[in-house]
Parts: sequence; structure tokens; C-alpha cells
Amino acid sequence: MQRLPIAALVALAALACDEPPEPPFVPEPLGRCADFDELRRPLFGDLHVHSALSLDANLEGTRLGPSDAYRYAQGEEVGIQPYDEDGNALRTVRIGRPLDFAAVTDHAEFLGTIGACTTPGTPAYDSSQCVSFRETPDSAFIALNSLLARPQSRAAPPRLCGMDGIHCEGPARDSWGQIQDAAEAAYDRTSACRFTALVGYEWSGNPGSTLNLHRNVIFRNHVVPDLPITYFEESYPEGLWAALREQCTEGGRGCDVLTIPHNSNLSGGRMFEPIDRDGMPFTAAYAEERRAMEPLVEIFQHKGSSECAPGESAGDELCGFEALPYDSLAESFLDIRGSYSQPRDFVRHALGEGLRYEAELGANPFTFGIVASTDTHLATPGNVGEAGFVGHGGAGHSNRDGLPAGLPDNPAFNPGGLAVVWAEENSREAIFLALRRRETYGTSGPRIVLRLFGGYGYSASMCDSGSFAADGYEGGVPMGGELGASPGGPPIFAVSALADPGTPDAPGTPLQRIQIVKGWLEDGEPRFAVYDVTENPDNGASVDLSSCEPTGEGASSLCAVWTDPDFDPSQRAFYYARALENPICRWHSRICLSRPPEVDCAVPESVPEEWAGCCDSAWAPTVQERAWSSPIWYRPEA
Amino acid sequence: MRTLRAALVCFALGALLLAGKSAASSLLPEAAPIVEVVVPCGASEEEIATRVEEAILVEEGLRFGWAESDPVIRRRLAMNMAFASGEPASDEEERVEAALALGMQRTDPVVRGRLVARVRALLADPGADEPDEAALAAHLEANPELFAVDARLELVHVVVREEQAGAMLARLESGAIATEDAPSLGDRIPLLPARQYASASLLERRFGSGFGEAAAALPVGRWAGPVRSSYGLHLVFVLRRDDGEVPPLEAVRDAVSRDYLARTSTRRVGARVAALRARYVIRVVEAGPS
Repeated sequence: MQRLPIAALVALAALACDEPPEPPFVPEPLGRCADFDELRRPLFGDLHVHSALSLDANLEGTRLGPSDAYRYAQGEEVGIQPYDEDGNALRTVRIGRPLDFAAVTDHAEFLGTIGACTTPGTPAYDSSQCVSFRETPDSAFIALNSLLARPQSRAAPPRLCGMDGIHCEGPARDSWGQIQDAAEAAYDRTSACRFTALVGYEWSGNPGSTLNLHRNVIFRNHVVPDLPITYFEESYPEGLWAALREQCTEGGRGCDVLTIPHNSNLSGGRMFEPIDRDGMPFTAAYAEERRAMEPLVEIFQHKGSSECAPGESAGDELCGFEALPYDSLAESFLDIRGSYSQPRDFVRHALGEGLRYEAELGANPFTFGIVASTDTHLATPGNVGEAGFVGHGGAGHSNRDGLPAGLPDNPAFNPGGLAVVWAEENSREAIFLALRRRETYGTSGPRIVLRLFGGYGYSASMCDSGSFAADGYEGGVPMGGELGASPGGPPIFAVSALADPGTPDAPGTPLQRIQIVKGWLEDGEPRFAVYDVTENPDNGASVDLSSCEPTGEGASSLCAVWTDPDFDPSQRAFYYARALENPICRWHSRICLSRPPEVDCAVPESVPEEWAGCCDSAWAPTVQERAWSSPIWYRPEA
Repeated sequence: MRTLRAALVCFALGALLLAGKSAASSLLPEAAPIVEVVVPCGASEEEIATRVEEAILVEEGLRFGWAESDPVIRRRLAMNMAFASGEPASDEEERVEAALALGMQRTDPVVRGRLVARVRALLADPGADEPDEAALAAHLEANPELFAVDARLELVHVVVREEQAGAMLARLESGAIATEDAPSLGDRIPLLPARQYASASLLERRFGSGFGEAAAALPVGRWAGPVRSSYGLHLVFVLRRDDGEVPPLEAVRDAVSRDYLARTSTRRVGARVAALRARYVIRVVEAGPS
């Protein structure tokens, strides 16, 4: 026992009598970072990261926790699955360049299950489900995750958690505390502002036939609800938003939050379905609520692209990029290939429908800005390189039980992308405000810099002015913004992209072109068009598949000032930019180069399962990495 | 203490009293509460300490009235009584009262865990233990690397083609062109501003590998180069170089304070638990075969 002065004991006595009031919230002011830039700079991050606190990741053998994920994001080497009998990781990974920010977004639904099943003495420890958790993880994976696919009216936590989930509440609090503590410890609050960790989690409902409605919930700062709101308490997105309002934004404590839907490509038409939880058509109130709570959408990640349906909209041949031949999580997990997802599953379609709702209701529920992320289940945020891809687990392959003999992941999947924000500095406040105003974009992995402005008075020589950003802000709005009625002429868009500079080990790839994707409402129907706005859309660049060496020239920087040739001032519209790199070898093609010589795709019996992806024509051998900007909306009545 | 306990017969109940040390004991109220802690026979010192700490934290949580007010505990107690009584439909308030009367708030593991967690969170509260100026200054001095600002360069660069570089450099060196006008002579890269104020590492990330290091080695106040980046060749004029430094405490007080509190949290909880322990008389009871 330690001897304390009388004053200390008196203080503790007082502590034991009255709970101290919560200190008033003081917003973090902008301007504390040495690199503050009022014209904003691009910060690269990952807003979709799972660690061992996610049930699926845990059962698949991931052992790295939230703190480890942040260590990886900042450039430390970490060991990943599989592990030997002594607990030593058999693979190590290190990110080529540290990220600027990240959010660990573990699945909220089973945060308490893991602790309840792995801590001897808990009331749930000896339950049959916990025994299965420990002894037959593959069965437990299916049995427990299937709870997320139950009809929304019957959503309930696992039996092991007891009545109303009481046995799991304590462990869930521990895990939620661990997530918050890890973010706080990783957040650089000094003026160096080297790294920002945001507190977040994933709401993981996928009702029906595992139709994905998942949302990542990202908080503005350290003030967060007592516990995450899960699918088991609120099984509809409307319920999630209402609960977040009640427990976060309306509390007057400084809590603020937004939600980011992802993998609409695996939602079976439900992510952007035109009805609310009661099966009724949207109202203006619904549209306003969704617009306020859900300002962003994740357009790309490990489980494919959600930009646009292959074959849809104006013959956009680039919609085939990382398109999955599945329509639900279960199909993707079990590799049950059916038809591609329906057009309603894609972001471009939703943006078009949003125009229609705005015309009909006066409010647009689908005013989405764009981000991308990885959805890693190995706690390796930002591990996005096509070269040296080790897999991401989750719905992909686990390497829990041994080193991969061939491809380390389902070849349908990819290394995922990055979320980019244009922010004044690398702080929680600056990043959250950028997310809120949708001054964001997503990349399929490379650190392409992409900037888009829209206005009415831009000079045709803006690309050469030497003050591109200042001119952009002064004469219009950045990506994510809204343009009001035209004062006379069509809007002008200034767009520029800078190639990823790369690293000595992984040089960047030159740019091929920039496109503007337009959606507009004509006779009440959404229409789409794609315009090449920089020269050389077909520069002849290619890849030597025998070595994966790229061939041909590309650009290190592209810029254009573009005016819509088909502009009709009476038609509401949106415009977003898409910057494309030259083609490179896809991750699986690179690994396939090292397959054993006896594996001959022309002789099917010579191809073992682990190398089958190398011989499957469903997977394109090359990819054109890209970046998608948030749209700029044209609203004629504004 | 260890010797005394070892002498006990473990198949029967054995008990020993632990009070606070003499100095703390002198501060105890007249009737210091007695807490009985049951431990398995043969429990190690560490196990006993853990159980004693848990028991004290439970008692502290009960003193706050959390058994009656905490929603999680109330639900748990009501559920327990519904199960015990076989009357799940009875009024929750009545069930909670009945559970409390039976002492379930001290025996149920979920309730105990919840009480311990809440008291621990309260004890970890940094508000009651704000470091003073001297503590902050000492923490900054002991951990300068945590708060140091990187060295920074302010520079202007001109993007040139290889065949132009020599002549352009000579022209710029002649002083015929004002530094701020020089970028207009070269190629424009709209997203790579001509004027930069950044650390070498940030320059590396913006321009590509090697550029930041090369720029950091250039002289201040005159044109130099060309320096190669991922985007081509650059002639560079370093306007100034700010050395990296540890800022004064006034400039980083919040960050130092947060870091100090985070690092001292464990120690703070430990000290506060120890102080609480001094307010109780502990009866350790060994039970069951070893």
C-alpha cells in the first residue's frame, strides 16, 4: 500500500461521493499543424479497416488489434497470418509509404462475442457457441455471421450473449474502449501532425440472402456513444441514423458522425432501393435525413468496384474494372458466380436517381461524395499495391492454416483503394470537415492527386496560371460542391491530375487520361455520358504479360479546362472526374508468373486449386488503376 | 503475511485480516468497512492482490449507488430474478429490489465486472490530476522527439526540360528574373505548386523519392539544380531553411499534457486504488482444497 497525503485521500473521498461532471467539449481548432495550408492538400487514408476485434477476421486467424493496424499504417512492419505453434507470424508486411490517416472500423455486432468466448470465467465461455468459436472456427464463422442475414424484424444477438445480449455487453465495452484508446494513442496531437486516427466502427446488416447494407460509422473526434449501435439494436439504416442522432449529434457533447455505405455492388439492389424501412416511397424528410447522415459512399474496395454496372450507361467500357460476378456477400464468399449486379447496385445509377428525387421531392437522398478504402481484415490499412499482395481475408481467402501455396486470395478480389481528402492540415477536425463537405475522392490504390473545380468564370488558361487552386476556389466550387443557376453560359470545369510519384521499390504509373462523367435528368429520366477531356485517350500503352513490364508512354501531369458541350440550363446534372493510369499487371497475374512450370493452363488436370485463378479467364490479367472525384452538382433552381 | 496464511488448514475456511499500513490506518474512519475476499486455497500473492482490488472496486461502485442506477446492472439483476423466481412478467423494479435484497449485486459476475469497469474509468479520469507546469516541462524535456517539429524548407522551383536546364539556370542566376516570376518560364504542373514550404519527408512524398533529400542539401539564397523528381527536372531556389526544433512548452502545452496524462493513467489508477484500499479492512478467506 502506498502512503498518500491527507489531501489526496480527501480528494478521493470526494471522488467517491460525487461523479465529476463531464468536462465541456472544446472543438479542436484548425491551424495547429506546421503544414497548415489554406488552399488544402491531399491526405491519403483508409476508412475501412478490420482487426482481430472483428468476428470474421478473428475466426480467420487475424491476431493484430487496432493498435497494430495503426502501427502498420504509420510504416511499422507487422507480422500477419499464418502463425506457427509458438505464435510467430510466418509473413511480415510493411507499407511502402505511411498513410496520413486511418480509421479502424471493426464489425460492431460481435465486439462482445469475441471477449465473451475467449475469456475464461465469463457467463458465456462454456456455451456451445463459444466452444464452437474456439474449437471449430469455420463453423462458428458461418453460424454467427448468418445472424447478420436474418430478416430485419428478427435481428438479435447470438444466443451465447444471453437475454438482450447481457453477457456480451461488458466485453463489448472493453473492445469499444480498446478501439478508442488505440485511436487516441495513434493520433498525433503535436504540431507535426504526422498521423490522424479516427474513431469508427462498421454497422454490418446484410439481411435476406446476405444482401449487403453495411455502413462505416466515422466519428469527428473522441466524443462517441457509450457503445456502438449495431444491427441487432437497429436493423434498418434509418434506425441507425436516428440512434446516432440521439446518442451522438443531439447530445450537445461535441459528438458528430457520418455513415459511409459500401459494397452496394453486393447488395442485390437494396443499397439504393427506392423505398424506406416501411416499404413506402421516399419522402422529403427521408431524403434530407439520408443526405445529412450519409454524405459519402465507398466506391471501391477489396470486394470490387461499385462505380457503374458493366454494359450500363453510354457504353462506358471502363465499367468492367474490378467488377464482381456476384450479387451478394454469400455468393462472393462461396464463389458462386451468377450474373453481374443490377444497375441499381451502383453509385452512378444512385447519383442519377438522386437527381430524380430532387426534382420530385425537393431533396436528394443520394448526394454522395466519393471515397475508397481497403476493407482489409488483416489489420493492414493502405496495403493496396498490386505487387506483393498478400490478401485481405474477410470475404476473401484466409491464410490462417498455412502459407498460401498459390494465390493468397480469391482472384475475384483486389488489393482495395484509398480515401483521399483535401484538407488544410492533417487533423481530425480538418479531415472530418473535408468528409462532411465531400471534398474527397477515391483511388483504386495509387496515390494519384486529383482536383476538380466547377464555376462560371474560369479562364481557359487556368492550367497555366500558376494558381490553379486559388483560382478554383475563387471562381467556383471544389469537388463535392454545388453550382447554382447559370448566369448565362454553361458551367466550366477545371480538372487536373498528378501521377503517383511512387517509391524506389514501386515506381508510380503514368497517367493515360482524364474523363468527366456527366449525369443529367432529361424528361424525368437519368441519363449518363462520358467525355474524354484530356488528349491522348488511347496512348497505346500496354503490358508485356510474359514479364509484367509496362510499355509505352504516359503523362506525369494532366490538366484541362472543359465546358459541357451539351449543357441545358434547365436540366439538373452532376459531373465527376475519372483519372486513369496506363495499364499494369493485375496482382494475380504477377503471382501467376511464378507458378510451377508443370502448371499448364492448357492442361486442366495439371492445375491445382491454388493456381486455378491463373487460368480463369474471368479475371482480367491487367488493370487500369484510377481515381474518382466526388461530383459537382448543377442545380438550376439554386 | 505469506507465512501466516500458509499455516492455515486449507480444507477448512481460513481467514486473515489485512488493514492499511499504519500511516494510512490512522486516517481511517472510526468504523472502517470490512470487506471479505474469498480466494482459492494456495492462491498466489498476485491472485490475492487482484481479488482484493476487485472487491474494493466493487464496494466503491456500490457506494455510488450504481447497483440501483446503472441500466446494465438493473437489466442483469432483473433478468436474474426473473430466472430465479420463474416470473419473467413481474415488474422490473420489484425484481431489481428483490435481487438487491438477496445480495446479487455482490455475487453476480456481470454486475461485479460492470462495477469494476466503471470505477476504474472514474479513477482514470485525468481531470482530477492535472499536471503542473514543472511536470509538463519535465515531460517535454524527457520526450523531445515526441513534440519536435521537423526541419522545413521554403523553396521556389521551375520545371525545365533537360535541354533547357543549363541555359535556364544561367538566366536565373543572372538575376534578370525575379524569383517569384521564375516558375512561369518553365512547364506548369497545376497540382505541384511552384512555392513550397514543407519538410524533406513531405517533399519526398509530393515530388517522389530523392527530391526532398536533394533539396535539403541545396544552398539557401541562390538558384541550384537541376534536381530530378518523379515529374521531371527542377531548378530550385531555397528561400529559407527552418531548423527542426523542440517548441517551447507554451506552443505544445496541450499535446504535452495529453501525452503526460495518457502515460500516467496506469500509475494514476494504481495509486488511487492503493489509496482506496487503505480505507478498508480486508478479510481474506481461503476456501476449498488447493
